[in-house]
Amino acid sequence: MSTNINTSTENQEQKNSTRKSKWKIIIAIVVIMLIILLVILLLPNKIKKIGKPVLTVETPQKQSISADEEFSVDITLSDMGDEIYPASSMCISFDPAYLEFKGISEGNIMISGDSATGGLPEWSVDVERSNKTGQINIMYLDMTGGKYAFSKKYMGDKHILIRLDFRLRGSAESGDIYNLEITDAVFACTDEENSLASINDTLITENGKVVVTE
Amino acid sequence: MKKKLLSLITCTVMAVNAVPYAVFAVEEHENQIHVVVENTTFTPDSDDWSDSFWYGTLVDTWVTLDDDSTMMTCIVDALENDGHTVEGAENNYITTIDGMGEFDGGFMSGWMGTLNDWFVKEGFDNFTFAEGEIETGDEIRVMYTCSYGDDIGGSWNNSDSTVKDISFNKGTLSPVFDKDTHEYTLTVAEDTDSILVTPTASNKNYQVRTRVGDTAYKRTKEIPVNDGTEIIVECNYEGALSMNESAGSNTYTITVQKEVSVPAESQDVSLVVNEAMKQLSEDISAPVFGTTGGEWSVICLARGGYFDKNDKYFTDYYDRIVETVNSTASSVNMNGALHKVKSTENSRLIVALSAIGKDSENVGDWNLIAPFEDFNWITKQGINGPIWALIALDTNNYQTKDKTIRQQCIDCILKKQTSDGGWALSGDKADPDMTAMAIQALSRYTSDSKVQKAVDDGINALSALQNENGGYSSWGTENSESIAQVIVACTALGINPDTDKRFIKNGKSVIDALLTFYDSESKTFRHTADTEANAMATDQALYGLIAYNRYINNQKALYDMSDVEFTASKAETLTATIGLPQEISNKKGTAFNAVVNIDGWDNNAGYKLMDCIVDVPDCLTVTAVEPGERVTGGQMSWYLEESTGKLRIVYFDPEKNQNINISGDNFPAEFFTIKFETKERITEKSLDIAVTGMSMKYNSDSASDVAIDIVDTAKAIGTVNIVDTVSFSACVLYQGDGIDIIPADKMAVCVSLANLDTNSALTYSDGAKTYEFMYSDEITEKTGVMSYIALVDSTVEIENFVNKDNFTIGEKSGDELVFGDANGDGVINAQDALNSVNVWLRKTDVPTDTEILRLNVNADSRINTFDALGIVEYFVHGSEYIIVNKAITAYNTAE
Repeated sequence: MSTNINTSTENQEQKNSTRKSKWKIIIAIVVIMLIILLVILLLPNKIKKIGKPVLTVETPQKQSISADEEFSVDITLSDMGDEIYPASSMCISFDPAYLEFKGISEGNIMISGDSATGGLPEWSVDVERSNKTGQINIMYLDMTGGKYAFSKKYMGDKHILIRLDFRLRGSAESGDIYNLEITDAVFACTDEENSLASINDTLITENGKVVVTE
Repeated sequence: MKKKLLSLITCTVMAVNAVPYAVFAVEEHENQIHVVVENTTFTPDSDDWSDSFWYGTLVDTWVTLDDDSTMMTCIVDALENDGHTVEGAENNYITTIDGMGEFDGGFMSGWMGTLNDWFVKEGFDNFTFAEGEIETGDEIRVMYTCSYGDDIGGSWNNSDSTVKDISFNKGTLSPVFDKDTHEYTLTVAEDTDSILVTPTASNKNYQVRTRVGDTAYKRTKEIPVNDGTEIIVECNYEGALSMNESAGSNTYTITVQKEVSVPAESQDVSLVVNEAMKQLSEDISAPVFGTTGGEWSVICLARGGYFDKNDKYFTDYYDRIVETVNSTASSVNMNGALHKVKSTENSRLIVALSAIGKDSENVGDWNLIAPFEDFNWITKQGINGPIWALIALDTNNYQTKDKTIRQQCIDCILKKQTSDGGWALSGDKADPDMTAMAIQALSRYTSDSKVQKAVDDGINALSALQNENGGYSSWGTENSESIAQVIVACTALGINPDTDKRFIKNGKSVIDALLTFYDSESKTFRHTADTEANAMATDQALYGLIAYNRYINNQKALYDMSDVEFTASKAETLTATIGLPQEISNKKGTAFNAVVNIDGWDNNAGYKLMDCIVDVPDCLTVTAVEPGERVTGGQMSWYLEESTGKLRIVYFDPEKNQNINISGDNFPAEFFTIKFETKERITEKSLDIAVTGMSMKYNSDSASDVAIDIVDTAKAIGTVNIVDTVSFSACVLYQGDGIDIIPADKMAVCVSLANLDTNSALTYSDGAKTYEFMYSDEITEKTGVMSYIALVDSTVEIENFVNKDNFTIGEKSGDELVFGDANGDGVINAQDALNSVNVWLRKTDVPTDTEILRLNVNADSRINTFDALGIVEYFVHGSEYIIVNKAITAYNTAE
């Protein structure tokens, strides 16, 4: 009896063990599938970004609502292709009900020019219209088609393309998050196939958020 | 001695800090130091005197330095090399020299010493050559004192940090030196190249130094000088040490002025000027707007006094200018600019108009000063822009609303000064033309010391650039124009270019050089010595001589028009126009738009409110009145009084009372659009819509005559034809001129279809030609009537495009054309602007007809940088493309 009892117990344990193993296998398979799914979902984005210049909205970590002072947002460029880019533009959307766009300041990425060190580009922007429409349209155009152009040589190790100056409006509240989104950006080449453009993913854009704190 | 201990404590610190921050080499005594040992205080008539003592200078010599040299070894070497004895040196404290020791001259007597006229007194061994504490050219002076140094210039009893005396080996100081006077002029002979400056501190316990700029000079070294060199002598300067109590510093500035020889008598060029002006008036009998045969000729003849300013020659020229300005400024459409990127077009004309007493703020329909509000526009062509902007604005003290524009121009010019003191279009090497022009522009602003310094440097640069024959070369070629510019610059500053030594080389003045380019037979001037005379050289050389002639006759400078009497100007007026579709459907519920444009707008006027009355036919109702995309600062309110047909519109900001602004530079600009709808089926053949009154108000004070600007609405009336079937109206938007990309046999035609409700493919075919028209949502939105565009053969009569038999309306939608979207990717951005530039530069293939339609956004006959700028302005400012507004305002139909 005792043997039978023992045998029955062992069988039961064996069955339990088998069930547990099956569950483990199922869970493992599900986890693996989830991982594969995530990889499938995320990888193209990663692959898409590998080796491509990234234009980023660098927002401050947090913005104090009480300060009521201007703050700056850097638009940075990670890298540039080997071409020369005589024109560039970008559209950055924001919520004018909470943010007041005050204007632009110079970055440190140079363009080629008369001197060996080049010069800073003169961007065109319309502050009043930007605040009216909630979209900042900024453009630089070298009318010579290449003499005063962006290039890797004149970019050097600098990364700040331009600086946007904002002020929080009185309507802003603690805890608010305001998006600054690049809706279009391009570094234009004469041969358009070599341009860096967000519209065809040859230029990657990273948006920014302004977080309001007390 | 009490100084001994203190000196020992401080000498190490002083040794580190006492070294001049910049030292000039002493070629005459390379690696040597000057040593003087003297007794001037303990005199033979003293009670303590003994015959074993000595008086006067014992040693005055140069000692060679080596690695082990110290101040003490130098003194010992100087004495022993000359056969003298010295005691105490081994203990770093001199007690006796040639038998005369401390206390021999009394209880306060003994040996003290200065290094470069500054008392270190003891611790001479602490000043070593190895550590740089003594250097070539330094001066050590060992002196006997009978009163703790008071009798040899060093005192513990005061904190006087003035300079007692400054001596010069050349020249005359004015005024005579006084320790409390700090500004001097040292007049030296013209051939003086260097001078020796020897300052003496009132209290030699304070350090004194001499410098020019950042270079300090030893007391033993002559300082190289030019006319205007500023020599600075400073006592107890910042960083200097003293064993005395702290005291302030004293700075003395000595400006070197070279004597100028009595100038020769200025030569008379009036004969050349007069006969050249006569010839010019004949050669350029009808000047027009332009760089040659235009403004410069007018300037010559006006400033040379050849014609009176009311002479027919000038009045006819002005009439031609008014015509040109009206057409050019309209075409450019940038607030009075005559060129989208060349502000000098305006500047040149302003200078000429000022010369004949004409106000540039009212030339035809335009204010030529207005575009100077935009500093970006001024600088678009480089440094030329701000230079000529300043010259032009200053001819009649024209004021910009933005009061910083002049200063921005000045700052921009100063910033561009080259390292050799001049200016250039590009690069860092001074060019005589640009340097002279920059000086001309800055000549009115020399009350600013920064400007004065820049101008002085510029004049020096011009002097240095002058050729050996008195002439000037630019881009490697000696030419008359460069010389002329230098003459104008000199005379603007009151410098006689014929006699000032700075502008005479080998006896040849700038005037002499310019006259060599004169062709006495043709009475004109050559560009270079070996070329034929030409118009540009003649203009510039002649006004250069005129500038000189004016100078020697004590007249105002060439561009100083304060001697010209200006004719009264008229006030600028605001004008409104209305754009309407030519045809609309007679059906009830037909919607269409009327666009009211405004011109003569000034954002700086401070308008707070616009009100307007529009006469509306009974059969129409108004569904909306919307401000233009570029208009900000208010809210639109309106009411249609149906019993009278009066539509009243008000635009203002009831909450903040802001100013009304219209962004961008293109005018006329859309102020607002009225959206109409037919209330019933219309039986009339046409409807008239008119703006009957419009005003801009500054404030609410109705009694004030400055509270309101009445807008001229005489042209703000339009007619809409009513049709009952699908009907075509057409207008030519532009035609190519063959000069640029757009062929002369091509024209852009806009066709609008009344009674067509949706975008349907539209094909034109007259049996000979076939065109696919493309739908334009922008023009449709503007007019309220379905509109299409195509580039067609210009030989096709416009009547053919209003004949419905020539069209096929498809069932499917037609292709859409977006103006400015050069690459057709659906997004307008920098790529499109660059594509426009590249088409103009011929860097890309000849564009297709569709690409031409997308690119030629300003609706002229060419694709060029104007279109690129149009795309930039659309992108940045939201400025409407000229072509869109033209489609509603420039109908030209066969019917």
